[in-house]
Amino acid sequence: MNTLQTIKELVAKQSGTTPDRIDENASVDKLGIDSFGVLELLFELEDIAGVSIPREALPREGTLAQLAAALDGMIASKAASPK
Amino acid sequence: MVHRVVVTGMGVISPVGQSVAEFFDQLAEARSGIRCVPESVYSGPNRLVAGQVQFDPSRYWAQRETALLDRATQFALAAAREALHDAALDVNDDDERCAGVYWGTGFGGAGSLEASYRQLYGGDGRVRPASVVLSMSNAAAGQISIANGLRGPELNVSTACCSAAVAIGEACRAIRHGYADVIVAGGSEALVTNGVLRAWDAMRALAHADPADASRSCKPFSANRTGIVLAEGAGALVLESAEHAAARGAKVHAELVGYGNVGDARHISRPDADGQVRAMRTALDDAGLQPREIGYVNAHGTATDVGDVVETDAIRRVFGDAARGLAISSTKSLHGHLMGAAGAVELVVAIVAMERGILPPTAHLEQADPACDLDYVPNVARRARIDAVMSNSFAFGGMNGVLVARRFPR
Repeated sequence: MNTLQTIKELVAKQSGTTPDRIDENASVDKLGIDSFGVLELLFELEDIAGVSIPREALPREGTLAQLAAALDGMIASKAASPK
Repeated sequence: MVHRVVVTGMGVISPVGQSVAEFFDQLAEARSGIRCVPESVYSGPNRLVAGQVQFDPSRYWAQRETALLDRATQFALAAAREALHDAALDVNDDDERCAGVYWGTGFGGAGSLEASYRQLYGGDGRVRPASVVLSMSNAAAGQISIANGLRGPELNVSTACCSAAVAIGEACRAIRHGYADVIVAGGSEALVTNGVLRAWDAMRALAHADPADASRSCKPFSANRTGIVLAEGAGALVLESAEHAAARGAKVHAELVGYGNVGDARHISRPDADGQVRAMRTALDDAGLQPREIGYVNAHGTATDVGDVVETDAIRRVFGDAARGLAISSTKSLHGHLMGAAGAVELVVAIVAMERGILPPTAHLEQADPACDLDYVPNVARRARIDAVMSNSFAFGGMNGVLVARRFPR
């Protein structure tokens, strides 16, 4: 899964725009995503990635690029220690 | 000091129109907004009809914003926007005495609640983060306040079919007794969903779809009536103290002069004439008006077998000899029963009728019922000069809300 691309597609769908218009290095605050928007995004990513994502993974000043990197880490840990 | 209360703005979202002007024009021409409920909405055994709004949220908001707004809240915001625009009110002109919101709804965010349960029990077992703020009963009131910067007193009223009438009446009292100068008052409802339709159908209270023309299914006071047609929408009125309105040169639609709120204390769903009589008399006494001074009554008139007879009986008892010359109509025949929003949209009908000198009809009154023998303005609108109007809303739980408005200035 291309994590960053998936995240951008979800955000684009939420905002009614296209992924290429989303700046992955802008803070969530600058992108205009409010607290419910963040929760919805993490909710959908959990469904897609099959991992549980803590709320702290995307703070107000965080970026989508940082979230993608963190999520890749969570997916890798889960694969490394299957239960 | 007791203040007089006037209406300086109105807004409506309904199955027959998404502005006050469009709404009233359609009613005056007896055009019905009632249609068969599509299979995408309702999947039950019986063929049902409802009054649905062809609403386009993108006219008002970006997609991200609508994700946090239940359909009922969207209607509320749209109606409040029209009302505040009509009132030409600058809510920020006074920090001390802020404008408030008094709002009615029977069910709140019904569609969002149903979607949440469907996902929780029938889907992936999860619940969306925004579920609470989408479906809570006071979502519309809160969002109206936020969208318009209304920082005054707030109240969310849930008294079933008389929710909006009670919200408006209580707002009137609050302004009268100096708790606010301005209150946006009204109601909203959007409960045309599969679950709600099934629940109402299970009560055997819903109208049978008219076999020839579904739009004619709601027939208040007609001998061949078959029951209620549920509908969705919102009505908003800007209520203001007469002094505040005069000081800013506001245009006034009408004066709100009477409010009657009494309980039947009889049955949880069956209406009672005694309660309705007391509610109407209370509203008239509050208004300082004699029954014969009322020119038009917008009836509750839900087209149930029992309800229409009980209301006829109650009106006859209140109005006495004046009942014969009184024009009454149930516009639910055309827009359906808007439940928690009914009291607001129907008060708008009564006020516009007075302003324009046109009484909208009770449509589809095909067969006279001897038990409902008053003048229900059958089928065709009528021109009449009237100076005072009454709007009735009678609800499950035996709750009653009656409002009286009159021409202003006298």
